[in-house]
Amino acid sequence: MRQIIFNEWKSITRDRTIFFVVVLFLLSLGFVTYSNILKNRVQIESHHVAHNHIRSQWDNMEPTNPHGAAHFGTFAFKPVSILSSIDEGINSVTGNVLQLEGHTQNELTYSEATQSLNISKFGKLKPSLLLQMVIPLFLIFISFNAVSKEKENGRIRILLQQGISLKQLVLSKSLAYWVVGLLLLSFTILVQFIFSAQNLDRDILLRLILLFSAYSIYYFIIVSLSVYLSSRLNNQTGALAGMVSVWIIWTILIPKLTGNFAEKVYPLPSRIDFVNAMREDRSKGIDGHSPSNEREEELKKTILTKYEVDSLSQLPINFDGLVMQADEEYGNMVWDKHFGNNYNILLEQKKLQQLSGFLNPFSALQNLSMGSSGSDLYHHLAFLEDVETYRRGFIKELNDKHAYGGSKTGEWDWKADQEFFRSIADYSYISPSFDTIYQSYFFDFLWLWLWIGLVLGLIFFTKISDITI
Amino acid sequence: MKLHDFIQFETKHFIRNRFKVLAVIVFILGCLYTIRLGNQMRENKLSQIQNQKDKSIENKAKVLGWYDSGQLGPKESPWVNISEPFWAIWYTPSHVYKFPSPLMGFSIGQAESFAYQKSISNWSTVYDNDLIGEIANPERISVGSIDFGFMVLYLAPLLLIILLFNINGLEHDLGINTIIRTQSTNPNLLLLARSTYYTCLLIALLFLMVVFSGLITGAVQSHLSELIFLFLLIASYLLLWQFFFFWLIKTSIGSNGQAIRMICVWIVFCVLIPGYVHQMADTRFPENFKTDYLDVNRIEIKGLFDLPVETRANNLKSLFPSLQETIMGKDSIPNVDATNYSSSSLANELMKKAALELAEKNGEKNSYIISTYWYNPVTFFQNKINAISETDYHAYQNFRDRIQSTIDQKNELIVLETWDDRVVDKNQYLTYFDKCNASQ
Repeated sequence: MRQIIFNEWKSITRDRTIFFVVVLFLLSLGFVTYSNILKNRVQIESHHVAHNHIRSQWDNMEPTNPHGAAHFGTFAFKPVSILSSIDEGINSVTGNVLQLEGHTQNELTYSEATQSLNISKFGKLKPSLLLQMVIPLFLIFISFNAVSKEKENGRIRILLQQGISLKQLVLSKSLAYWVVGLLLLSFTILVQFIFSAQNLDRDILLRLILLFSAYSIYYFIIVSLSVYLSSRLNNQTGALAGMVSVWIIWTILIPKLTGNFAEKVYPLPSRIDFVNAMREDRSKGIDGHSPSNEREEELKKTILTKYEVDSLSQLPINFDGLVMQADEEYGNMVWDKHFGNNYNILLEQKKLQQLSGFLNPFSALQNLSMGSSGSDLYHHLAFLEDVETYRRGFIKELNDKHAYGGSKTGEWDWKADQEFFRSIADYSYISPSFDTIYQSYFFDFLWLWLWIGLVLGLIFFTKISDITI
Repeated sequence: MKLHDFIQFETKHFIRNRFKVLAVIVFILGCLYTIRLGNQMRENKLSQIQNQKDKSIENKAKVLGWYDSGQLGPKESPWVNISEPFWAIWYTPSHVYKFPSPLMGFSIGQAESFAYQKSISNWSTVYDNDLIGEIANPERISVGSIDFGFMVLYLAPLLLIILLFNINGLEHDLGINTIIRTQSTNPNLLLLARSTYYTCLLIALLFLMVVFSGLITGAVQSHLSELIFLFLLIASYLLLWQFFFFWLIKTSIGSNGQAIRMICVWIVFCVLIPGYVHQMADTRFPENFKTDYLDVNRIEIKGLFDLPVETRANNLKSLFPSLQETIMGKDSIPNVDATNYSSSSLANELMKKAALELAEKNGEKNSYIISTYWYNPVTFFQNKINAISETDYHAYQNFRDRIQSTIDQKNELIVLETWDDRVVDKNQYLTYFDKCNASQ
């Protein structure tokens, strides 16, 4: 087997076209990875600048009414992860600015996709584009005739007579071509490793290992399937047509179809229905009872009883702050119900899409690539939940100040000092660590391993009598 | 060979190859499915717009009921007085809709990134949260929707590869290419005719699908010229691919080599060049966090309210010179309530300026994208088809412009009517309703 692998490598290096293309790919991957790392740095820097700019506006706010400050609000900017230079995932379509204010849970705005004409249907020239689409095709091109050319020139008979089994032949040729894929992949990871060295930590290393493993497995599936088809089909054209069809179906058709299918199975509400339902729940009560004025009356009675006074003006605190916080907490229930419903639907869609890896290992690869780069739906939802938790605490602090800061009910002109606003913690986001999120990708990995098992099964159970020599 | 004989010969050749016939059938089914998906999306949008219109009529009827019964506003808001222009206009339902084109079935384009309706108040802006598009799975959007445009632009060339890869390639594989060259008076013409046969077959099938969908949606009657243009675009696009492929066929080195070279051309034009342009556009015009716009939204507008009433009143008079002629405008002491009610106009001016700057930056990025069309033809055709289907950036920019003009209209109405101290009755309210919904 080792001899066949070496011979195959020799023939690859002797083939000037393949050698030239491999060198071209190495250069392209190096350039694309490096330029994306640089771009990512710029993006991270502008994120810091924007964040500090908004925070300094908050810190330098003149004494103002806390409720006015809640309307003034603040902004959270969606950060980019270090590895999004490899795979940008969904970042270009989600928007990156989230307004945090009282009374409402907002959504991310200003998505890049809305700011210009359409450009590419397959995304930017990121390493992921080359690693997912172009390199597998290249591996198909160099391996589709691995066995069929031996059949056509009659060398296969000699090899078999020398004692090598068909499965050994297919496996060793698969390993030989797989190494070419690994070389390209390793180079990309190495460039990322070298130029992101200052940001490397355990989490990023684990993610890089996951990324490397996922692509390695996928390349093995592609290459071994291609070599297997080359052994089974009678001519090279059939093997090439078969593998290119597999590539088109896996890479282009199924990902788009499964996305549409998942949305049909788990439909999301239309925006207008979503907004109207929230408005309805907000005004009439989640269960259709206790509208806001009734809830306010109840709160009023409770507070007057608690402080043993007859009217709001006798209260030592500002009742308006309590009403606003109660309304906020009620609103939070409404947001949890409706946004929570949307998030659950999105997660169901994601799970269904992950299940499609059973049919299409490319889907599993895409999920693992985005997941390890921190740019998939799971990371996105984690960010949104984290921001919303911050918003709720932020608004509560302002409402509490309004209620207990020293003003009386109805004193809307009362102002909290700058010191108070500065004391409110700034928003900072730490992306979920790999340890906390790896189980989300269990099925993706499982499918890739199953596909390896399937392809190896095909190879191991192929008899010489199955093929025409 | 006569044309009739040639067509018969090539048709036989095509029909005998099951793989090619199957590929064509799958492609046709795919096209029909995607046209249906696009039309379904259009119908959804139309039904949502209709729902909103019904709600708007309900709200209008509610306010008219207040006028009939002498009620000044909702019971829970005793400060509202709909006989004042400000509150009458505040309670005038006003919407701008982007009606989906009957050609939307051909290209979903950027439709999922934008909203199709906008409720307008005097404080609205063209970058409000309710304009961020439909709720959709971002992973699906990033992978991209499958629509008819995608089938034509990305999969039709692949189908052409399947149909053409063994023309002249098979002859090389079998070693009979020399005989054919010797026997034929013009072998290149024969190759051109054979490849053109398949391109024409594909164009004819797509033509039938365009006409079929146009008849269903009524586009044949309402958008005939656009439909013809769409068809011409599709035909030119496929002929362009045929041109590339013909050169590869002419210099064939066998079926496999030919297929590999054709797919490489596809990868270069459909994946790598658009990806490169996308990356370059992103590098030249990096995604920013719109802090300039946010500053206007928060700091400058907040600052407006810190200005003395006199300054704001003067600013309003500069913005609307005809205010000088109104009842309150003639008074040397500004009316505080009228000035406060009118302040949204000043905020609107600031937001308009900031939005214009954003639109200019987007315009620069678009100019860059357009400047790459000469070497990026797929993106050119993609955006042309999106433009015909009214699902491209410009279609939504026009929608934004209509939204802005309705915001302007609503603010102007508030200012002029308030400063004229008008008392609003039912008829006047109906006039406001018409003016605030003129953009529909």
